[in-house]
Amino acid sequence: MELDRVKHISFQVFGWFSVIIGILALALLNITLLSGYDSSFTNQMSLWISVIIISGLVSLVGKNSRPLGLWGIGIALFLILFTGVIFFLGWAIVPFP
Amino acid sequence: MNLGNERNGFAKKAAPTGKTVTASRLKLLLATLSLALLIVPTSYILTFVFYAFGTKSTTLMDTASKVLYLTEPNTALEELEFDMDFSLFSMDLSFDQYKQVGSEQYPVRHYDLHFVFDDLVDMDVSSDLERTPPKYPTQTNQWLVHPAQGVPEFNSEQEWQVLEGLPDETVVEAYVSFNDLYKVTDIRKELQGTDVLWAAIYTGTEDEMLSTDGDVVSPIGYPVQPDQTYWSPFRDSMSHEETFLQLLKEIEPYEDLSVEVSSHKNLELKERIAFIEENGFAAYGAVISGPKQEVGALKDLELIRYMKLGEVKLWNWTE
Repeated sequence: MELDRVKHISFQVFGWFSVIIGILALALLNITLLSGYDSSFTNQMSLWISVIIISGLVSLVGKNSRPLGLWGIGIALFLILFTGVIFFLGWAIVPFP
Repeated sequence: MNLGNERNGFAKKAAPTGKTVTASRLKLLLATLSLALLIVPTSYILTFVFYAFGTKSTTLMDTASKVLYLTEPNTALEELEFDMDFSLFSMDLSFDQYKQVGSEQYPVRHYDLHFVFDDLVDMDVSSDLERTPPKYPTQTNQWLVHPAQGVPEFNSEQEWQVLEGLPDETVVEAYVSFNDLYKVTDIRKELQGTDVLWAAIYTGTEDEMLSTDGDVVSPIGYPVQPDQTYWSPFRDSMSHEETFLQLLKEIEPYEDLSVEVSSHKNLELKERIAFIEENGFAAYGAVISGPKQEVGALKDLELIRYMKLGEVKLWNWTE
């Protein structure tokens, strides 16, 4: 019984961690875009995405924490989509090496 | 009473506690924050999609580049040094414009263009030119003059005098207007000892520098010297005349943008393209460059009606 409670809380923590890190990553992305300067955040994007996805996947195991996990993974997928689009379209719209 | 209900499986739904309400509010707050933080990145994606599949960033850049080659006499751009920046729904384009004086290219202007989508909303041009052409072209203040036009606002005799007074160790850029219409090949034969850099082509409007609608136009033309720089629109061109006509047709759909980028107030491309297609290519003026003495030696040529001195640099001439 006690173990279930620990599991439940752990999954919740992973879920909230995934969401909070996701929101933080989005906030940093906004700051980078609005400031117009390349920050170290863009270089570490893959690390942020990995952390969000891993903690999100862990929280998917718990029934109650599943929505939080999906939320975090959704943010990570958006970050992946954003990076991909900016990379490939950036290559198309800026004709210089 | 409650105990009885629970026993019968009719327990009342638990009233939300303070903790549950706080958690729900936090979730709502974070969900709103998540959505709000998606706005800027999504706008960036849409901006990139617009410049990749809508009006392409390269189209805007090429149009700006081509129009300067055709409307600004003796112009070269280095597209590799173009600077392109994207922000929300907008694009900044900045680049340098070069002029050949003698045998070398010198940066003469710096352009900063700011587009919102495909609309040029701001343009800042800084110039290092020592002799700047008129900012507001009129019928009589232009530096290249059609033979049918009267006396221009500049004094050609004074310009020859200034040229005469320059040190021999200088190279100059000169705007020469002819007494008739000539083929560019003939001009190159006549103006020995100098480089003919840019030819102003008669498009049916230069007699009075007015279009049929009565709008003031400015000279258009093309670079004469072979240009193998790979960003040049005249690279690998077998005939600069044909490339000139082709480029005019290419910028015609973007005439409004072209007018804004160039110093011309009107381009009237449709009318001028139709005239060239019907009457061919004939030059009424040209921009030449060479040693001061070689350009000065052209003074007595019957071909040259007026001369306006452009940029002057220290000797750099190589045959």
